[in-house]
Amino acid sequence: MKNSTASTIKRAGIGLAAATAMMAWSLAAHAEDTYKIGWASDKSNYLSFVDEPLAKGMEVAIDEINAKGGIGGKMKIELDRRDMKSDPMLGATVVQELIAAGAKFIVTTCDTDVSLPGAQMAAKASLPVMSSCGADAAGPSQVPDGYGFLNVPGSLTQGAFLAEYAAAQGYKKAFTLKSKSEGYTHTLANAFEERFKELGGEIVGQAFYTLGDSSYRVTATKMVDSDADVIMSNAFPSDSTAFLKDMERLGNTKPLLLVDGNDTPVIFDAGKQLALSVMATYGGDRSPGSTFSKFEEEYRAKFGADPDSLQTALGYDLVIAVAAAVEAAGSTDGPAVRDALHNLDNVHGATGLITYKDSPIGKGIPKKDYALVKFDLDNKKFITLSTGFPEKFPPVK
Amino acid sequence: MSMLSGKWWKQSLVGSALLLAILLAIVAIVALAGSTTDMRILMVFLINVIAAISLQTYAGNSGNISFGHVGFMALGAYGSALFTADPAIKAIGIPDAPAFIREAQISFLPAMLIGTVIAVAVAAAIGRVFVRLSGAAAAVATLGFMVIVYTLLSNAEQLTRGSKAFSGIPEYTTLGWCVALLALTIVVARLLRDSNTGLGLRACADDPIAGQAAGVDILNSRYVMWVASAAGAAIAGALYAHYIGAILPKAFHFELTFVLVTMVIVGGRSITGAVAGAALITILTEVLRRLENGFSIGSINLSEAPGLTTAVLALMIVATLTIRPQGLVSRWEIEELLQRWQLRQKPQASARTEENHA
Repeated sequence: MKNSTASTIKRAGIGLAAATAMMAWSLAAHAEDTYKIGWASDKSNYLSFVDEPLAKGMEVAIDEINAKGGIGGKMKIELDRRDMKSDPMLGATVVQELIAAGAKFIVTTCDTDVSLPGAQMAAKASLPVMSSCGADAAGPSQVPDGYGFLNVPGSLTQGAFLAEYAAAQGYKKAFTLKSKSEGYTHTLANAFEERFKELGGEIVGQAFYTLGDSSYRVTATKMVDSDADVIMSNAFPSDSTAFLKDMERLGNTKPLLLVDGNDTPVIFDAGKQLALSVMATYGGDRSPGSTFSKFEEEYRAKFGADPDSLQTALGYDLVIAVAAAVEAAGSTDGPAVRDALHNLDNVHGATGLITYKDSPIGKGIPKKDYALVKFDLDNKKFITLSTGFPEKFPPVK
Repeated sequence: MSMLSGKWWKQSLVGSALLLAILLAIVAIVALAGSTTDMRILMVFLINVIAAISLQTYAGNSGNISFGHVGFMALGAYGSALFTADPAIKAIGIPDAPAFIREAQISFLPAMLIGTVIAVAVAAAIGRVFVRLSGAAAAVATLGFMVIVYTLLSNAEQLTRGSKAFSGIPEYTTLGWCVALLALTIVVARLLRDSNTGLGLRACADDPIAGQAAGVDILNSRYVMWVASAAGAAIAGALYAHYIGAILPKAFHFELTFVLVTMVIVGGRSITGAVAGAALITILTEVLRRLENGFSIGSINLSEAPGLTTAVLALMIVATLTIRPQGLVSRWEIEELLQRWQLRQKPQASARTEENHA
């Protein structure tokens, strides 16, 4: 009886050991043929409106790559997205969880400032980290050892691009609308002002708003009554739609310059003032056969609807850039992927060519061409006027 | 011999020691058995406990809730961060700041004291107005204070980088610092609560006319608690800044206020209540955060439930205020709770003995 019990325990022990070994082997095999991107994203707070479409774009790119066998035809990509609620402290905790869960590349939310604690934690673990669409050009330089990256060229270049356009149109006097609630909503306008003045223009007025403001009547009155010949707004929906409606009520006829945050179908709710507006965005070539239109086709096939904003294409670009870096590195090691990403040159994304190599803006910030678009109100489409990159832009601060 | 007999300060120290012993047990369990993420959650919990106790020092004694203490946390955080951050990073981030700030790089303790002194000075300057208010007026005024601090920090670009993150803050906050400052906060909060000032103020919170008739100087008592609680909140803010390494005004806004106020309301009106509330909310938040990623109960499958945590916390406030407005532990401190439990056990034990004799 005693021997029988001992034998049973022994057999159970061997079985358990074998099962554990099999499980460990299976997990190791899974870890070897997958590349996990961990995303400390906002699913439930004020940045979720950009992170949600970004997630859909990332899914399209992941499906596309995995359908071909994965990165280099052998390593599938897995996305682990967790909610950090736009809370910097929780963001760092979530990044730590993602690292513990085996993430090899960290993506943070669409705000470089809120992302910073999490980004610094990723860098400590020697993992490259990219903000999903944060635009502060000073962001990557605050992450140690070159591990920090942006997914967009940043607010400084966009502001300068709009200023160069305004100067080229012969505008001499500008009125700006900005908010100190976010880095994006005032650094971009500051860059516009700086470059516009450099080109001989004059800033005749500045108006400030708070994110979520619903009435812009006072601001709009000042702008309409001013002697400005162009108005530059750093707002994005829902602020920008409310602002443009108030401008319409006051009968504004001055041209307006808008920023890429408005590259969403929601902007068409703003109404007739869009006929006077021009917007800076990405993905200038949206003609049939372009990478942008191919992305849109894949998106429609997957989700059964048109992309709900430009952020979807930026999400696609992010995964394409990361996959290209891993393939170029020939390794999943953090330092190797970081170095490969810094050397990425002319990779085809949905919004155009992505280049991190010798970036004129700063280390870790991609150079992408901007597009100037006008609005087709009847068909609710963006029409590209031109593409390009500013000749000069303010230094990173 | 009851543990509550003797001088009042002895009772405060016994209560503080009991509370600290429980917290140290939690720290030991997590340190020995927890993951690195668990340790991180523990550290955030300890900082939140300091902040919640500080808020309770004012709210629990005066009967006035404050939505403004996160403002004092922000002052403590920025005050300490500005004097400890790497001068090379400050030269890039805040090049126009005064030289004595831009070039300063002092150690943690004096920097934390600077942050605390700034918060105390502000609290002392505005306190005389705030302590005259009660009820809804006091709550709205403190909310206004929080918004003013947020707006000032967001606009003081030369000093704080405005709404952008201020980074390069040395990560001085260790478990040792957290435990030491938590112990200090608990002892000071208990001594203040059990002092004549605290006792008188709580009496006035229940019945202002009777309290004042008994000789309680309600305004001065509130003022003492207001300033002391600001100091505690500033310490929590400094620990926060030196733990996270990068701060921005948005971190000290409605979300953090909501969490701290929930801890205090759910916990009850005592220092023990603040600790219990902080522990319950932290555990609940962590459980809900994991459920937000998807769960299934029987036939109900929920792939994702973003926002579940905030919704449940809000429901908890409503449920607490409706069902148990005095909070989990009401006005009792830990040693009083133990004594009440002992007293409840005695009659039962006597009854059992009588039954056996019969």
